[in-house]
Parts: sequence; C-alpha cells; structure tokens
Amino acid sequence: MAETLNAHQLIQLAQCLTHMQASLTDYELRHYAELSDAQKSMLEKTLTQLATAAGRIYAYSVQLVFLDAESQIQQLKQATEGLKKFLKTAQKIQQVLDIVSNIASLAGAIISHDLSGITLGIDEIIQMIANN
Amino acid sequence: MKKVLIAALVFLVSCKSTEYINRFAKSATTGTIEISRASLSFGSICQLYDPAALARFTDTSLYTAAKRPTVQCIEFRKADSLTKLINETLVNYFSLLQSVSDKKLLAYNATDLVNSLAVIQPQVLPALALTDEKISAIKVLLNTVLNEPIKWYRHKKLVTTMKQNDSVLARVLSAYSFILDSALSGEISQAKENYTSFVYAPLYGWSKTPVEKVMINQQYSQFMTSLEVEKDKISKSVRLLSIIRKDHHLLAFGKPPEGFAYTEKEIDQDIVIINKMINELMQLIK
Repeated sequence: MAETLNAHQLIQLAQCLTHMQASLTDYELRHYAELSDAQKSMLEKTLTQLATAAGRIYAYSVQLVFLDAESQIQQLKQATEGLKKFLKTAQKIQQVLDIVSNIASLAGAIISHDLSGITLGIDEIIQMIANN
Repeated sequence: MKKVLIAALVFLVSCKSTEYINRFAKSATTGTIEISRASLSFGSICQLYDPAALARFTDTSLYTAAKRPTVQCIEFRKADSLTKLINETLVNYFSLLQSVSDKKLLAYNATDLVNSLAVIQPQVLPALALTDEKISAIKVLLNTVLNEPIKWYRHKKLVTTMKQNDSVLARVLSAYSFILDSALSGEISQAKENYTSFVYAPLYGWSKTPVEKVMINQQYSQFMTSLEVEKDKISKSVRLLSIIRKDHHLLAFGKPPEGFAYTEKEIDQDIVIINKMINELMQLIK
C-alpha cells in the first residue's frame, strides 16, 4: 500500500468529509428542536472542522496533480519556445524575399535614372536591414 | 511535361495546407482563454463560502453575530496560481500553433518583385519580350515557387511538433480537466454543503412562522441555482478540453483508413461545437 495519497484519493477523502458534513447537517435539521444549546454548539464546531478540512483537501489535490504533470507542462513550454523560434526564422525568410523585391525595384530606378526612386529604394533597404 | 510537374507540385503542396491546423488552433486558443474566464477561482470560493464568511448571513438584528475563525486561503491561492500556469501554457502553445499556421502571416506576394523585374527587363534583356500575359503567368509561378516551400516547411514543423507533443498535451489537458472536474467541482459541492450547514440550517431552525420558512427555502434555492450554473460551466469546459484533445490527435496523426479527409470533416464539425460552447460559456459569464 502506498504511503501517501494521490490526487484522486485525496478527492475521494474530501468527498467523504463533505458527505459526512451533509449527514450531520441533515441530522441537525431533523432534530433541531430536541438538541440542547451545548449539543448545537458542538455540532457546529464539528461541521466547521469538517468544512475547513474538506475545502483545503480539494485545493491541495491541485498541487499533487500539478506535480504529476509538471514535466509534461515543461515539455509543452519547450515546444512553444521551439515554435516561437521557428516563427522568427520563417519571418526572416520573408524579410529576405522582401529585400530581394526592393533591390529589384532599386535596380529599376537606377536603370531609368529615377533619382527619387533610387533614394526611396535605398532608404527602404536600409530600413529593412536595420529592422532585422 | 513541365505543366504536369507544376500541377503535381501545386497539388502535393496544397495537401499540406495549414488551414485546418489554423482553424483548430484559433478555436482552441479562444476556448482555453474562455475556460479561464468562466471558472470560479479557488480563492474566491474560500473567501465567499467558508464557514466564517457564510456565518455573516446569520448576523442580523434578530440573531447574534456569529463567531467563527477565519479560514486561511493559502492552499486555495496556490491552487489558483497552478491552474493559471497550466491555462497559460496551453494558451501559449495553441496561439503559437495558430501563428505558425497562419497563411497570411507568412505569405509572400511576388507582385512587387515581378513588377520591378518587368521595368528592368526591356533595358537589360530586350530579347525576352515579356508580354502582360507572360508577366502575369510569371507572377503566379513565382508566388507558387516562393510560397509553397514556406508552406511545406511550416506544415512539416507544425505536424512534427504536434506529433511529438500529442501525448504530452493529452497529459496536461487531463490534469486541467481533473482540476476543474474534481477539485473545483468538489469545492463547489463543498460550498453548497457549507451554505446548508452554516446558513440554511440555523436560519431554518430559528424561523418561527411558515412565511419565514418559505422565504428561507426560496433563498436556499436561489443560492443552489447560482452554484449549479458554476457546475454547468465546469462541465462545458471539461467537454471543450476533451474535444481539443481529440482534434489535436487527429491533426497530428490522422485517422486511418479515411485519413486526412476524415480529420477535416471532424474538425469542421468540432469547430462548430467548440464555437457554440464558447458562446454558451460567455453567456454564462454574463
């Protein structure tokens, strides 16, 4: 038998406490008039303890399930990083193709002696290279 | 022969479309974000529904102020931060799949290049005698030649990543489903029980007239209904996660013997379901 409980077993335990609380509340409602103040107070104290313990156990089970899946979460983060790097590379390829288009456009401006076209073309290419 | 080769190239690469991956990733990103928005947090459950907080319901002029120790919410806050981390990991993964599969983001338009070359051509290579028709044909060909390798390159990367991480994603989604379906749902059941124990039972016991009892029962029903809405959000979220898990697997491996046609059909249907569920979740949040 395992020494510690896993997340699923913790949930079962918490559910047992919730059911126990439900049964006690049901008993209190059915016998409210017959119970003394001291008994009511004791019941309320017990219900509070059960409620607090169950609430904490449900929340604590999240830590256990997270620990179990931690390496997979890290792996998924690495995959995301890989995709991010790939995206940057692919965007660089596109930038290179854009630069090729601009160089062809600049060549056209040079051949036709279009001074403003040459200046604009050079500016655009410098801008593109600076952005990389 | 050349035409056949080009047609074969275009056909082959068009099979490598990233459109379905993009549609899936877009829905999965939105869905996962909405799950995070829709779910009640552990911290708020602790603050609103612990015995001390609920005892305030009975602090009226008729009844004495309740004295109960305030519950420490450390475990609840930690549960929230871990759940947020899982959600963010999933959102980031799906949104990167969406970006890499977005054909608009990485499409290359050869129009500028062809136009520039067409300007140079009469002076540099007048013998080519390019007509408008030829230029237009070159544009199409160049667009294909420049775009298809990028498309193929992206498709290969996407499928490889999805294949490598399919079981990993399944495990993370299963952990997320467990948190929602078991832990958070358990907290909601506990909150309902706490209301019964610390609000309903004392008030019902103290109430004297049938009118008072009816009012307390009505208040009880309203409270239970509000928490049922929370449970409804959880069940929708868990279903959404299971569809996302299935579609990721289908896109990574396809489903024999029907192959990719089956996958496309399934994704088409599932995206309609996912979007419908996202709308339902958004309605529940409102």
